[in-house]
Amino acid sequence: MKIYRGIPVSPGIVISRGMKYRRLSVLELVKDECTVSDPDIEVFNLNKALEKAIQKLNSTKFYTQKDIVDVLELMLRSIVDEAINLIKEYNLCASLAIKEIYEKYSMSLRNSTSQLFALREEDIRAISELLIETLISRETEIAQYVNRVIICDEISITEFLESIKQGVKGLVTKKGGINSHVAIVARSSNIPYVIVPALNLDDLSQNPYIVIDGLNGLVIIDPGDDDLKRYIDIAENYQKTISEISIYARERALTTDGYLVEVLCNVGDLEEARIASTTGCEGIGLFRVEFLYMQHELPSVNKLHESFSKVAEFFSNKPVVIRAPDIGGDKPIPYLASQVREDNPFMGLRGVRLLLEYRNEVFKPFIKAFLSAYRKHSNLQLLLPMVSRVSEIDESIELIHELGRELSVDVSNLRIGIMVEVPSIALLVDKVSESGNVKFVSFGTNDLTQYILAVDRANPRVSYIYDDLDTSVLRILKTSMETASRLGLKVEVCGELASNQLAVPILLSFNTSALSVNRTMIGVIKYTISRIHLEEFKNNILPSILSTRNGSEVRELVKSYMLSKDIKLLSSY
Amino acid sequence: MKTSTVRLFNRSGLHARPAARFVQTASMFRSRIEVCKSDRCVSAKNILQVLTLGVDFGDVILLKIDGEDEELAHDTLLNLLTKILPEEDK
Repeated sequence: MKIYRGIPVSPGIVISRGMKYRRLSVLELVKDECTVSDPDIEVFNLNKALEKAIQKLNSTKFYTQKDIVDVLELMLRSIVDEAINLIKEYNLCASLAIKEIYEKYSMSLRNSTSQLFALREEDIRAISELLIETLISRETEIAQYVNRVIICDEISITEFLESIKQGVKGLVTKKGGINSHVAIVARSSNIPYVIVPALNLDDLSQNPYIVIDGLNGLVIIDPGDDDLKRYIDIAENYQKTISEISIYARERALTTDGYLVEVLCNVGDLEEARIASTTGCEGIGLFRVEFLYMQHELPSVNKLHESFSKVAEFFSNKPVVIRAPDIGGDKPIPYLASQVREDNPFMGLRGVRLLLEYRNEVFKPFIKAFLSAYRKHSNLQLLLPMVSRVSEIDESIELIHELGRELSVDVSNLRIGIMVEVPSIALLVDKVSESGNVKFVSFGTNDLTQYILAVDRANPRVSYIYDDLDTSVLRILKTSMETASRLGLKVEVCGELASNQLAVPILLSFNTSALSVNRTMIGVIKYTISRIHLEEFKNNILPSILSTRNGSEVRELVKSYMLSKDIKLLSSY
Repeated sequence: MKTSTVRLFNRSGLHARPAARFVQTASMFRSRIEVCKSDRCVSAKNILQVLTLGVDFGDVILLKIDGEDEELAHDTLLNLLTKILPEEDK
């Protein structure tokens, strides 16, 4: 059995046999030199292929989104128009003409600054391949993959549309985007889809038994009996449960005894922010900017400023928390030349330490970009990563004030927060609140758990020790959160724990006011909150939880509480 | 010749479906219609060219319309960009 954690693209549960699919790109088969003696016949053939391709596309319309097929058709006609000019002028073969036009547009789209437009490159590639396949009368193999889950490195929109017509049940790809046409169609057709970057087709058998959990982004190959039973249970009532739950997504989350909880979303790039803004997120609790720093050079102040402004606009009038880049350590940055290879990156130069060390190259440009965006968008808030000492906060605030004066931006109302992920600062929140500059604390429970249990969750030899519901973690959270809230600091949670239904009543008992969750979990978490009686939980269940020995015991206690409140468990826990 | 500056407020800018609507609408008119972003101008009747222009949410574009039905084309396209597309994108 193997469990893959991936990116949830389209929610739902599938339990089925998978089929590996390796695509061969016909574009690679087109010869670089190819001319014809009679261009008119070639144009005639191309037009015939065009009509055939359009017919093929239209046959999938009944099963899926009409407008996407319409767009593809427009693109097909457009590319053929240009191809015809090339054929007439240079006597090119139709396939070569198509390939050249594809390459021209592909180049400009791929270099586009917006991810969204880079995804359109996939569309143009898909239709170019469809045309060439039709020209050489070659059928794609997709037609045989009926009623199965398709597992592949990547799939084109035209292939996916065809597979839907054939009754595909689910999709797992190694590459892809959450806003690609494949993703959009998967969601609108209720076909569970997870992107697993770590996927290696060579590791899998040809037809493995597979479970896809599109809500939590999990793919389980050859599941064991326990997992199988659990998912069969969930799958039975899934559609019904999910539609009940989706109603909660757009409502406010109130416990049965009237406690209001803010539910925000974590997003890792602009495309996620774009989708999240339509799903009931009450704001962004964590905007991870690292994607901007994973290029071959530092992002310009302008590029940063543009990204921040865009996100702020997607969520106008709602809070948007931007975390300063948490780079270094296990997320090395190639162009920071003086980076020495560290023996212990987890405890090395990263987070706010790295920012202060490279303040001129990294921190100041980031703050400048942030403040320029903040000038126009007062809903932006700033979050400092991996703080371990109070002095780091003081230094950072000083820089922010200094640059605020330089840029004439009034920062007196700017909400600044810190990530609580290092145990030292968790135990010093009273000192953090003393300066009055920090307004909120956001608990990064993933790293916090690793530091508390001294375990690297990515190390397969010890990852079984990692447990963010462990009693030790809960005890530190209790101390830290209760102190923070008592002293007027707003308590938020952005780690995975916030998306875990079992953790919700516990976190709320510790005075958490805001949970920042994965966008697919918005409805589930709000649904859970709305069925909890917080005072009852605090008085009757919490005391036993704090005297358990480990996470399994914690889970048993909370699960019975959930059962007693008839709260269905859909999140991973 | 009519020119107009428009700021795009539909969530997905002028990508795929909104672009298709825009191009289909522009193609209904006889006038020559160009859409420009920064210094680049392309024909508004060609979907591939409009896509490579890369117009996203919040971007400002310039519409250049020249021909006998330029008034009607102008009003229709402006209405599409500023009212219809943002509504549909919700």
